[in-house]
Amino acid sequence: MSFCSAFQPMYDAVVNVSVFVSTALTLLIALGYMIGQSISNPRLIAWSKEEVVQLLISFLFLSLSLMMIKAMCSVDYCSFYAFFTGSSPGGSGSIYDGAVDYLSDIASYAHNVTVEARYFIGKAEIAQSYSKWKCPLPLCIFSGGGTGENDVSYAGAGYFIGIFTMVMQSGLFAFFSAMLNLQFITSLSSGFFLMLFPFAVFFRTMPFMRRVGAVIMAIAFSFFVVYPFLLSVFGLAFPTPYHPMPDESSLEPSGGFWSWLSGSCDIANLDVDAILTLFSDIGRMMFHCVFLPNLALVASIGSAAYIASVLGEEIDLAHLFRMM
Amino acid sequence: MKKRALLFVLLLATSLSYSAGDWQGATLVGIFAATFLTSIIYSLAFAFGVEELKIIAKDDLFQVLIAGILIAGFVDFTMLLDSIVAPAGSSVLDQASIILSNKVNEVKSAISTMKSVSDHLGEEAMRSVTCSYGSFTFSITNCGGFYYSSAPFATGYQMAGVALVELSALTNILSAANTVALSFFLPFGLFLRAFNVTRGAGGVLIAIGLSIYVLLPYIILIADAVIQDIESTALIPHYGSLSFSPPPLQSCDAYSFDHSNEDKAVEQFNSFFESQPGNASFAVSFLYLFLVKCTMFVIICLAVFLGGAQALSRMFGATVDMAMLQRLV
Repeated sequence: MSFCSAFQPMYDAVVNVSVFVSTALTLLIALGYMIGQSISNPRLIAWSKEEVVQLLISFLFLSLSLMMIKAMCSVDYCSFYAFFTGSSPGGSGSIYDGAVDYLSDIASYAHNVTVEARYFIGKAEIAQSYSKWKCPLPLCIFSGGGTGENDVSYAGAGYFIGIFTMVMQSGLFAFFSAMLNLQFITSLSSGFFLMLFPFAVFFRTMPFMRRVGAVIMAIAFSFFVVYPFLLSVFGLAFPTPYHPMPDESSLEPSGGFWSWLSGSCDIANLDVDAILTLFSDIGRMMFHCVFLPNLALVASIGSAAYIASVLGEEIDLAHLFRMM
Repeated sequence: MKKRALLFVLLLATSLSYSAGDWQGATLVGIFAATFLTSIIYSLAFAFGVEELKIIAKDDLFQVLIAGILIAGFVDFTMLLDSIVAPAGSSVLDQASIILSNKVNEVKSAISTMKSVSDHLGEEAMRSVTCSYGSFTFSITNCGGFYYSSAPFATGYQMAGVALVELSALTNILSAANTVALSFFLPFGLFLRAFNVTRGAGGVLIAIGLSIYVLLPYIILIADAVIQDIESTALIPHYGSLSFSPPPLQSCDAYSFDHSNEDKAVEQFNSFFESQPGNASFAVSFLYLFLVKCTMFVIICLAVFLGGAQALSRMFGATVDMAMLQRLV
């Protein structure tokens, strides 16, 4: 099921609820105006006039938001990219699907890189355990094979375990970051977040609660429109690289037990090129899984602050960023 | 008002026609799409006589034009600087890519050298002899003195790994300058910035696009020049030039029970810190490469890049606090 079809029932419900809330509020304001006129209360009349304008602004913003959400569901994100750049990255789906696909891809990428880091830890541990028993002939005969030199040829591989562990921790951190964002955006697909819109319209019209309504509306818009949109754009602009899963079977001695007994240590050799590729992929992984989703989040919060200020409330941005 | 609008359009068209590249078409599409939509809003406002909407539509139209001129100005300025700073037939972006690529190759080569040394020392450190006669067995690790290599090399690999990871991340960001910074981020950001509710998102996209294309290559060049200056003024006079060739490697005799193995271990240890005539020692060269030439370089680049992106996003109307991302760096 695509992202948009998942929240479609809730979207329809929100449209109905929004119309109902707007109508009810219009009636409430009209009632207030009538009472104000009948009891000649200028404050009530002024409140009614002010609230009609605010309700209209809220309704316009709500309609615009819902239209944008619908548009984001209708636009194919690959065609959209091709429109600007002339080349299509391949694939299809709504802007929301683009964001989900991107986060799924980077989570998968981080997972593969983490698995490879674990593979290298295992390989280094195996490598440093390989030892050869060098038994000089006279001593060997004299002691029944019990006297000789123990040579751990690949003990130096153990020096890499620290960096491999750090790489694996970075991989896990990046994987969790990607999964956190994926969980968040998947939770949007239920559509419950959309319910904030009618609440916001209601709060913006109620006395003393306009600021709350403005903040709710700005946050709902930013996280339902700006955040998935930016993730989708980042996914198009920075295609996720591919990192193959390591071949775990290569950690077994190729020739079986006899190969091991004969002193074959082929699997103990740590390939420098593979290690360097792993380090480079960790850099890419941090960029995709940590830097870009956080940038999208930062931009969404910035956008929420901007919209809230347009709607009449200042958000303490610095405080929010500190929370992050 | 009309004259001013016409002047803006002419300025924009002149700026865009001066710039060379494939991005102008896409940017013009973004500008025309935004202009078209704001014109529709203005027409509706005019038809229904809504003065507030007319003012908003006019403001939005001017935002499109101003943003377009600013972008064209930035890119033109970059191209002008390119013609002054970069060698003929090249650009600052190319120079920055070459610097990063050279640094990556240097680190890779250093890791390979370190591995050859640590493989040898690891093997030497673990040599032991066992003597067995009947039920009597004794075992001795005569080469234990070489085991000191474990901690410094493990730490060295961590520094090298971090340096390579950071350089790789920076290379990844810079690669976007050639692909999407101008052709995708700018036109699309410009389009979004035209409308009040999406002005924040548009401003961020424009700021990122310009930071990647305009700021980052210059910061890389400047940071590299700063690091080179540190090398020539602070490092070379005191320690000598960087040298990555390893000192002669000692071998341990596991059957030797006198003090010679320990002497070799101490000699080997000291050799990593001894400067050769005109050359810095093995340890200093590697530390300088990983910590200053790569890690500090990347931190300077990313900190200035994010600070620049924040300033540009403010200029384009989006208040984005990059402090959190800077802390990540």
